Amino acid sequence: MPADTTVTSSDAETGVRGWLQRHLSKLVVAPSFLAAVIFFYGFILWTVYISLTGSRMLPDYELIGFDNYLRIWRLSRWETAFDNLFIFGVLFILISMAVGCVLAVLLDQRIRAEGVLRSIYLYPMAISYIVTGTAWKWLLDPGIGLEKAMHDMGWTSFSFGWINDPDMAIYTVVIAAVWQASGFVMAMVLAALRGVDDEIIKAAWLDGASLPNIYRRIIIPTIRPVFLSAFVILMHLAIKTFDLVMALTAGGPGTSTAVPATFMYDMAFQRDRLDFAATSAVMMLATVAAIIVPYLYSEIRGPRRG
Amino acid sequence: MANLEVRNVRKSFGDTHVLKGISLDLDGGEFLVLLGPSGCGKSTLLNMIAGLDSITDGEIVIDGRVVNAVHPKNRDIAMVFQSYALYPNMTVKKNIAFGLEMRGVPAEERERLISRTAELLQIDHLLGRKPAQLSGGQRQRVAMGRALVRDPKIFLFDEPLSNLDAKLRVDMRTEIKKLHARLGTTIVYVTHDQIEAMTLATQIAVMRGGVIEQLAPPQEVYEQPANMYVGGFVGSPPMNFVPATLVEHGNGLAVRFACTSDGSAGDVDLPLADPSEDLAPWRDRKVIFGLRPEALTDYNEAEASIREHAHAFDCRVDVLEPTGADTLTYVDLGGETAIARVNPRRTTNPGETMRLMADMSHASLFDPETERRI
Repeated sequence: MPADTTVTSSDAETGVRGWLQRHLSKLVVAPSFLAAVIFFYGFILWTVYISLTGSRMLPDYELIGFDNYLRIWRLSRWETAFDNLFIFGVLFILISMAVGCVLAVLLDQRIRAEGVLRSIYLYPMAISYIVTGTAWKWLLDPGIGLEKAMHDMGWTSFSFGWINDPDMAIYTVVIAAVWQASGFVMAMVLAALRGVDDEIIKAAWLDGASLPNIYRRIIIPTIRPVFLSAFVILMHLAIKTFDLVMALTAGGPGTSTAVPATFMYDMAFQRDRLDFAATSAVMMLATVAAIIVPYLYSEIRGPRRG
Repeated sequence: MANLEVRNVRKSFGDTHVLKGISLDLDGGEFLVLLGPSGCGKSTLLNMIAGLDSITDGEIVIDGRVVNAVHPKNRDIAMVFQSYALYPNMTVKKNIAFGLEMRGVPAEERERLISRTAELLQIDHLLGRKPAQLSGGQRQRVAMGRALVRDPKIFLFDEPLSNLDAKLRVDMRTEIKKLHARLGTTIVYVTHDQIEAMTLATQIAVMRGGVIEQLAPPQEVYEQPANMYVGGFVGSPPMNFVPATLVEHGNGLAVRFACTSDGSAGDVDLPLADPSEDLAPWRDRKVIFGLRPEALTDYNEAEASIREHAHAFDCRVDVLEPTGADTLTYVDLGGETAIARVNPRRTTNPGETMRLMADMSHASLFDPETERRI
């Protein structure tokens, strides 16, 4: 009988150990998976729900329908925020891509100290937006930054006060964001250019193509997927932009550099309008989704590009 | 069909001399193979002919015109690259058409040329596909189509078969040979594969360290290598090199080398087939005796009697390597390992002594100092 007991208990042990061995990976992933489900998707749903209520400072769970989505468009501040997003987004993406491409093509000419230069251009990406915003606030401040430096060097008529000009302040956000992101675009495009087989370019050369033709007809179409990736990444950066604006202009002067993210923050924590905050958050999510979803779909389901 | 002349061409990067004075003259319709190990400068030479690399010194002449300063596209040459270098964003048809388009060939003419080329290479059914959807052999055909369609004066091939698997490589080799026979265009072909060189070429240039070691038709390169390097590089297994002494033998000369048989070391004398006057100064001096493995075979009385210069000797067998058709038999001649091609049915066990037969009409002699052919 004692022998029997031993066998059973060791059986149970291997049973537990066996179960652990089979499910350990799932157990390890479970907490973060649970956190993701609750804090990402749970709160997205909660936010969507709040946007359909008349909540003020505290959540109010009585549904009022899609009223908020209509009323938010009557707020001049939201309109400013949306216009700013449009101006900022378009300029930021176009200029970052253009600067990044030019830098990449120039760096691709097998120059000396390329590694150092590449790191220098890529470095801004490693800095947080708060630091970028603060640094550029100082640089652009007429009292201590660029304008003062020019005055000190003797160019007294120089004036660069965009950061204090309600009509121009949004462009300073563009400048800071481009400074931060174009190195990243450069790195992506450079990697893609390096991926183009040298022999392809030689073949095109023998085929009688001129350099602009080689770029236009062969290299750029070949690396087109990279432009798409860069575009999607820059686009969602643009829509999410919050910390850069907060650090650089805090949405000012007045509300002239408000963007949807700062609008949301103001509504939630300063104006006690949770409903508008939730509504603007959902609209931002919808905008990002409108771009990312087709992209992901084409990446995952689409035919492999050759 | 165009003739190509390379006049004392050099290529240097600072103090590194990649090509040290290359000269060759190629008639229209010839198939020249530049053969050599990697780093011997053969691809550099090809790129210079194409105009993709600058020329440090010397001249390249196509059909009597010095093309040193002529842009690649105006040299009227086409090149097939090792990686095929197809434009990944274009269909097969556009790939083939690109060169014509860049040269302003009208659309109907392009259509006609493309369909003719596609038919020739049997790729008509692939015209709508992208390169990524093709197999290695198909890409190779498209790359050749792209070169063919322009009907250039000279074709350049840069190791075109090295990315294919063994079977396909043999097939494509035959295709290229047929194509050359059919079109008769001048071809310069770079490879490190000596079998490719032997099968395709009408002229082989064996290169090493930026110089041409020998420029001759394949059979001559094989039978009369200009030096020990060429003899060792061309042929598989390579030529046997036996340290020997040239001695007097009857009216003529013979090579004498050490060989162990029946457990005792001794010397073997093999009389030369044509002891010419030039060899007189070499009498009683050390030479390197070169003999292809197929000229060193198992002794066969019937054959020995019909071959005038076949001589038999005994030697201990060290190792056997069956290859199917022949068994490679390793023996020790003059202190160096030599390989004999032996009929598999007439082999001897390792350690035992075997009667071998050397066909001295295929013998080569080299100077041990300079390694040059005597």
